[in-house]
Amino acid sequence: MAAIGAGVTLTLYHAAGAAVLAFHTLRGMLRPRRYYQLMLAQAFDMGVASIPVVVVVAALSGAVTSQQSGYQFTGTVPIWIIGSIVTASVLTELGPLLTALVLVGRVGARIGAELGTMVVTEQVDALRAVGRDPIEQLVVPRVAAGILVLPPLVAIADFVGIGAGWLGAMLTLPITSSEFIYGTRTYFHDFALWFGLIKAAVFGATITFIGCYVGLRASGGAEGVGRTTTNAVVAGTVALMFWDAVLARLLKAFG
Amino acid sequence: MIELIEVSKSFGANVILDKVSLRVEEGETLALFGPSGTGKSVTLKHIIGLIEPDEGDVIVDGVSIPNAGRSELKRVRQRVGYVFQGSALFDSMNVEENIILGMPEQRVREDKAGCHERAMECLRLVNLERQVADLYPSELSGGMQKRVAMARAIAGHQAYLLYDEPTTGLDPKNASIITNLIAHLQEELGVTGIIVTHDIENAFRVSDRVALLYEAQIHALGTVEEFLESSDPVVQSFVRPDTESVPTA
Ligand SMILES: Nc1ncnc2c1ncn2[C@@H]1O[C@H](COP(=O)(O)OP(=O)(O)OP(=O)(O)O)[C@@H](O)[C@H]1O
Ligand SMILES: [Mg+2]
Repeated sequence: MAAIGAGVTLTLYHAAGAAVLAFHTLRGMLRPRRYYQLMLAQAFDMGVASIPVVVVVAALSGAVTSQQSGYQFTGTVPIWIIGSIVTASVLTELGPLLTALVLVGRVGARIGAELGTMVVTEQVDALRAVGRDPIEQLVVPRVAAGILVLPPLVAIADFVGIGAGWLGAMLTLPITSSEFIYGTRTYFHDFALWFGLIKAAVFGATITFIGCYVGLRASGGAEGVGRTTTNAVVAGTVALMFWDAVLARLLKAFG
Repeated sequence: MIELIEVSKSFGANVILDKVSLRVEEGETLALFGPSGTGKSVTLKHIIGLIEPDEGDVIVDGVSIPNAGRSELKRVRQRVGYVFQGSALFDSMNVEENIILGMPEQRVREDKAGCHERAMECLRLVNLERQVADLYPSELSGGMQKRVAMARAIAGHQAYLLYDEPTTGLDPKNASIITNLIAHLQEELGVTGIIVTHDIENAFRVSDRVALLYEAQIHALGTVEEFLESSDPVVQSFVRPDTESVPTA
């Protein structure tokens, strides 16, 4: 009982803390002229460096999806459905979610460690001491960069994932290229693509924001920073899954 | 003027400051002594609002820091230079960028060349060469970092300066250069300052008054002469640490 009580208290405590940080971050975002340079530098770091791993993960997931649906294929439905299945899973789930999960490890962990180190070495205090706002200076550019970078990365992942699904189907399944493309076209509507990209932006904000929140709460030297990095990944992953579930319901409601 | 009024601060059950009152007049330099871990750094952090008091008030430049709004707090902070005990340089920025961060934001936007010149001047004042400007903090020795931290604190012609052990880790020559710089800032520019230090000799050279923080309170406060002549055993042990063992809190 006591443990549950403590857990609830801790959750509420972090929810309140995150809400306050989110409020200040949103306020800071209203003034893009003040942070766009920092944001672009961050975006370049997060985005360009992530492309190779995003491409590899997307290619594998696209290929696996077409294989899996191929094996389960019994012949009672037309074979072009495989094109639809691959497109639907990549656009709405695999593209955004797997790309985001890759970025949790790459970007969320790094932000947590970076800000955590700045906290324990008093660099954040020093920023405040010179009259700068750490949220404006550190959090806003990173969260803005996350929002900016994830949609194009997901677009790349979508393209590569569907392409790999097509290639996998061509090589191993009894389906022609035009059947696959027909399936793709039948499923494909702009809405699914846009929905996936909006989801990507939400994921981008989530990953960077959680990295910042956890990092700014670091304490206790190198060990503390290590814990922070782990927390950023765990909390980031859980939050992504949560958003994914919520957004899937929204897709149902509007789609 | 910097004024602490009955400031109390505890971390958990650990009482650091117990109704501490302290006043530093305009243009005055105060040396703050005390055993390690008594709360000297915590006291300095109260002055620019990095730590909030549990009770009491802190007034700087006429502003109550615990009650100040965002913009008011920012204005005061830009008038106060703070040399952190651990230097706290930004490791993603080179030395020049670190120093420029100590200057007011508006000036940095409008007068790039002027800021560059001022950064070079500050480097000279702390006895560092121009070439250091392009290095990153991780490429500097501890003593060099300390002097860059000093340069950052004075870069914006701050009216108030808080020095947390500015000469710790420096060789005697550089310690003396920094002490002279502190004296110069006070005498020529009328800076109001607090120096936290264990370096009694250098501190006595520049300070008008001395305070001893001991067991969560200001145990003694007076001029250098009064300190030197005090018969209080705790004060004695600080003024002449070689004759008696330093009491621990
Ligand atoms: N953020 C904090 N959370 C908890 N305790 C703290 C915090 N900051 C300082 N303390 C505690 O407050 C006490 C005073 O710390 P402070 O850094 O002010 O000491 P100090 O007088 O500057 O010592 P030194 O001469 O070694 O620098 C210490 O016991 C420290 O453990
Ligand atoms: Mg200290």
